[in-house]
Amino acid sequence: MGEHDEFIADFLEECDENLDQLDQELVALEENPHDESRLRSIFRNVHTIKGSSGFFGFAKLGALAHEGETLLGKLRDGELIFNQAIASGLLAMSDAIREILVSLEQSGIEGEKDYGDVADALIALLSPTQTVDGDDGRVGVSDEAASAGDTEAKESPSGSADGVDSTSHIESDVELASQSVARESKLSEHPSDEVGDLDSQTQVNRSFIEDSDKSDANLNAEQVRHGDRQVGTKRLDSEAESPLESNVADGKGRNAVDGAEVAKAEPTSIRVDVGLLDELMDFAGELVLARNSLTRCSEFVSDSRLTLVANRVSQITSDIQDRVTRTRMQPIGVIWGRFRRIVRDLALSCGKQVRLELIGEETELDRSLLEAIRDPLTHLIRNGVDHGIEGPNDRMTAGKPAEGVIRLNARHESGQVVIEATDDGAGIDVDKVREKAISRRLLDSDTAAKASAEQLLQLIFEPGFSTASQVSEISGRGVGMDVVRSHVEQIGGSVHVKSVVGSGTTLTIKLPLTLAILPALAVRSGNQQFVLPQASLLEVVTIGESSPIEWLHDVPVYRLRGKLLPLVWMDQVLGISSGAASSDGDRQNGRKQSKKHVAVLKVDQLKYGLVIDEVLSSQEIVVKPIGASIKAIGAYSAATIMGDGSVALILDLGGVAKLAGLTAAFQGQLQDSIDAERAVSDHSLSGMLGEPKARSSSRSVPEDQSLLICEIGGGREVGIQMRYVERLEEIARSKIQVFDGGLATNYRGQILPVRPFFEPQYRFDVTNDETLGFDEQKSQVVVCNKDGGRVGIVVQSVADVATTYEESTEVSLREGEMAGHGLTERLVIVQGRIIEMLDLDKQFVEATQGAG
Amino acid sequence: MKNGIQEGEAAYCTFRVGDSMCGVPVSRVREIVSDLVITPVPRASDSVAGLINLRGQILTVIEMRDWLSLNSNPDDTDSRFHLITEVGSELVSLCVDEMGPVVSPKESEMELVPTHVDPQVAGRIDAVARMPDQLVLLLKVEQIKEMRTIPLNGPRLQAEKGPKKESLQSATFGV
Repeated sequence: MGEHDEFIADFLEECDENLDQLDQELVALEENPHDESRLRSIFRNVHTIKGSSGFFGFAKLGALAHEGETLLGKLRDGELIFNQAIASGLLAMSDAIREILVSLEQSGIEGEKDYGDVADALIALLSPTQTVDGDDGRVGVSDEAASAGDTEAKESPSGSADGVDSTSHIESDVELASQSVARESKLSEHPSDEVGDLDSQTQVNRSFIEDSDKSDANLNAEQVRHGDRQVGTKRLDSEAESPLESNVADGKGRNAVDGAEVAKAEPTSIRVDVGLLDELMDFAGELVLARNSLTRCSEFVSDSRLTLVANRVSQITSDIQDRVTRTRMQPIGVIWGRFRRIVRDLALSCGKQVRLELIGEETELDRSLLEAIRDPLTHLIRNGVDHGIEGPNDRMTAGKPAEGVIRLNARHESGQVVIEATDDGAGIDVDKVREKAISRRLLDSDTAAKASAEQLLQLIFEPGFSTASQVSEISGRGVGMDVVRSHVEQIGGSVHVKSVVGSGTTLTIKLPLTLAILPALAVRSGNQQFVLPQASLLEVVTIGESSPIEWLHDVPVYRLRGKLLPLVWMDQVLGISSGAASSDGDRQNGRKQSKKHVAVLKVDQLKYGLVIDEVLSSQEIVVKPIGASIKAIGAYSAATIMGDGSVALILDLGGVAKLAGLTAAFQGQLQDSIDAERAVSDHSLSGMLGEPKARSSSRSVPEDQSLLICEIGGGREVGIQMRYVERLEEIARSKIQVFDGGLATNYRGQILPVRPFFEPQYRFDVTNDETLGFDEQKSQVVVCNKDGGRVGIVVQSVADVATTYEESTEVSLREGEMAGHGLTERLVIVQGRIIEMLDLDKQFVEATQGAG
Repeated sequence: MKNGIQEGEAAYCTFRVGDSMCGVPVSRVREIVSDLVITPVPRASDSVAGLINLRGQILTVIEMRDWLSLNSNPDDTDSRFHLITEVGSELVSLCVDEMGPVVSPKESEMELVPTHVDPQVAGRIDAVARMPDQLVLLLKVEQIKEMRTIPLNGPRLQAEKGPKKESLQSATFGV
């Protein structure tokens, strides 16, 4: 009996696949009703389900499939023409079968529900008077009972006469085998044969081979017409793989097929138990760790032979890891298949015309990820049809084709999988989002007015935007977008939205390729190692003694290149005792006493800095699950094993922010950061300076006297008056061109003179082409704007924004005193250090002279 | 030590935690390992000693002294034993001081947990077995999953453990 259960499990799994295929093919057939080969494929599919359910004695399943098959038979024979009503009927049948399968899987029985209505609908479709659609009227009325009998009649003799007859049509031995198998299963449809044929049925249901499509295609129409042996076609490769099984078929003495001949068909793929693959993946991970240990050992032992072996093992390990990872990869088309059906059904119910375009179906990603994005993607598709695409009339009015398009595009991009869901619908009205944001108190009106369209659009992922009442008002998305985002982020991905009113919306999901192995940064906090996923890591900055830490709404913040970055002390949030310099006194002072490293992280839309003690290394780690009680803490997503065999926890960076109380506080501050970003993007950094809320211990100065402090190499720091700083840009060196007497770059279509303070080779070797454009490295350029004139100043890095400086110690310098650069106007003291003030006027003059 | 485990009698793997002997059914014990590096987990419940790497699998380590509110024995060294057991679908390590023999107490040797034991701890003990030379606390290992974690609000402050509950040892061994 146990064995029987196994067959049923196989049967269920296979039926499930068949149904997916059925759905897709039905939707495809609806688009092209005259595609006969597709129709035949559908017929075979339904017949397979019917045959198998008959064998297992699943009466409801069999009855449903029987009605479907009868209807399909008529279609195939040209007695009926495929139309939408028929498609709906058959899809309803597919759904009903799926429900029964679920019930079978869970409880082993077909369930209480009666599917008579579905069957009746199918029967009704047999009579063309019921099928109202267009050109079907000409099809003759046919008696359904006769039709059913006809099908039966075709089934029974196929065991002998048809077999002989059709051998002439068969082109290969493989197909011969398929016939034989088919006959086995054929017989099993008769109750009396069931017991006796159990053995042969075994092989039929052991369908572990995927190549079915190819072989299905080989069957010619004649065979199909004679029906019923198609049951076996799907299994013929499994036959070929296992001579033993084919011998069983031979033993039955029907249409003897030589085992050797069957074996000629080489299967190119086999089914493997997913659990086994997962184990293999685990072991590959182990191997990676062992390899890391070995490499470490070989470094200590100076034996060239060991080094040689270690290198070889290392290479092989990498290869194995790569291949094993690939075995778990599946094309994304696997989950897209169902979307055609979803779009069709939803479009029908909304009275819209929607076409689904799928691009990059072959893009592969880890199967665990596939499962994880199925729901979010489904949601996006539903949203697209429901809210994105307009009704046909509206579309015509807007000058668009009546049929809307939803496009899914998947591709690999720099080690990530990018999935775009685009619709050509109405788009999201940013103004309405803005209104909503204000009325929901997510933003104050001032901030909302200043926020860019893109910033506002991201608000659709906020939970506050997901109630039904807003969906209707914001002509667009809303329901559950926050859930979509949290799902995607759970698996290390991100989601963004772009939209243009009137022409559509694009949602972009970015995912890591695989979950099991990820690039990470090992850090130390206190005396413990932790791991941060690289995906969320933007950069690591070092905060020196001088950098002020300010307080905003009780959250410590750091000004990172003009943007406010909330800080979280890792040792404090995790309660690690031995971390240095984390006493409260320090922070109340608004400063850190010793140098600190800040990992700048972005999780959700939240950007924050995690203060750590040390950055250890960047490495690929193997993700290991952790116990539920550890996960429940909320600070860790998993763990990994380091090269020395020790365990390191992988931080759940969103959870850490939450533990630090950051998200709630941050909501209130969203406006502030938008302010800050806005300030940068709006070419006036001054807006964010001199925050009235900032609790700086030093006295503040008027905002227009704030300084941007930049390092220019050689330990020198220059200050640029903030009010002249328009933007901070990274410009590739190759884009900075040399011309007679100076440098310039094409900046937003205008010529921007460039003054190379940090990289003086620009200045001194301007005639030497080789020093210019030597690589794609980026130069840090401070774009200054004074009275409409612009100049770009190349610096080593932007160190700080100083809101305070001691003017009393200001010293004027005579012209030319500063090493001939003519750089500085005067010196000031900022937090104890001497800063050279940049004489901007002079820079403009020199730059324009150079340009002239 | 008796070797022959008789039919019908449950066998218990015993171990010492602090000054008390405890036991869990032999059938629940996967393996026993010693001297593994324990990685502490900040913010975890006090009963969680940390994580260990058991041949590539990461297991939560339960500090049995804390779980049972038992005093540590001053003679104990840092060398601990990990008794690997399955709780729910998860493998966990019970961190104990010393391994003892396998015992199979008769029905008549089983006692209920004395009522004056702290209820939380009492809920983790199935019964007390009176063995010839000692008492053995037979544990309800499945209670481990009931452990609480530190609530999410606010960073956890160090060294705020309340005074230890009355020692279980004095409670049970005073019989």
